[in-house]
Amino acid sequence: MSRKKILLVDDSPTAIQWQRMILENDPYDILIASNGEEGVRVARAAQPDLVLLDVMMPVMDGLAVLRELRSDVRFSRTPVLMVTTRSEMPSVLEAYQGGCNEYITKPVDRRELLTKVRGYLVDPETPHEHAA
Amino acid sequence: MSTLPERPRNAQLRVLRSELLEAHRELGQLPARPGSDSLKALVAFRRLLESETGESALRCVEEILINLVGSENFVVLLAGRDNEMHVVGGTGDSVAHTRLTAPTLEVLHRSVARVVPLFVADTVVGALAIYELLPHRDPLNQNDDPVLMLLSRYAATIMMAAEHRHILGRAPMAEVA
Repeated sequence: MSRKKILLVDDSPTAIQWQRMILENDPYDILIASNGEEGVRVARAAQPDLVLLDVMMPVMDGLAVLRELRSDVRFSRTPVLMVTTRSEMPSVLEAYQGGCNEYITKPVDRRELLTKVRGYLVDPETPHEHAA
Repeated sequence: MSTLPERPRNAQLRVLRSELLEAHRELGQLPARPGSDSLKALVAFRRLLESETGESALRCVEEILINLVGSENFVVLLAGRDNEMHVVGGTGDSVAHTRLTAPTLEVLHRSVARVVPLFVADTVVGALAIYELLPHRDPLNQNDDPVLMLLSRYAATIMMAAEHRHILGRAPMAEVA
């Protein structure tokens, strides 16, 4: 069974390392992009099974990346989880209206991230384990 | 970071080197078990020790506060050559306010969520003043202690060591023995 691919898009190396550390004990291949443009490029090349997407990034922000991905039929059903410091309702609504599946606030909680990612990537034939 | 001395004395270099060694030792002892309270501290530690310049170490401290603690309104102060505290970094409206008003410890009397002293060995050389947490964050609690204690214990050492990397990296041990 091939491993699921998760694409992390964030301009903060600290955020990337934290999310990577949370996910590394599960059987995922982690892909990384440090800005929105690179995120779109890596997504098109690697076809991830799930995308964790920062909102506030220079050059191309997360909402623009989300629009790019959703406009591509290959990613119309790819789970996209926005990860952000912004918790105001207008920001949340804008993300959901743009087509994201989940909205996770920073600092990212380990259990929350694992539970949500596993929920989207669970193989129906594999026993589902709770986040430790 | 313009507040640092251009060339630390040998005694200061010895302290920095000794503290750096201690930091690496402590990093090696941090547990990497899933669920450990120290997991965030492990990430913070690794990121800090990757810094190659004082400026990048300072940016790293800012990233840690935003992404691992959950604050976008804080200042980083370090003692300058004049032994006064100077704002060297931070984000949010507190930064502009602090730079416009008297940049001394009096500004820390504003309402703060937490003030974290920054040490090199047993000397306070600066402070992190966290003014506000992100609105969705719970108040700071013991789960935040590993990261904040790490910053308190080693952030200033790592910033200063990175700033003087060209000296610490080149000088043979005999010169600073």
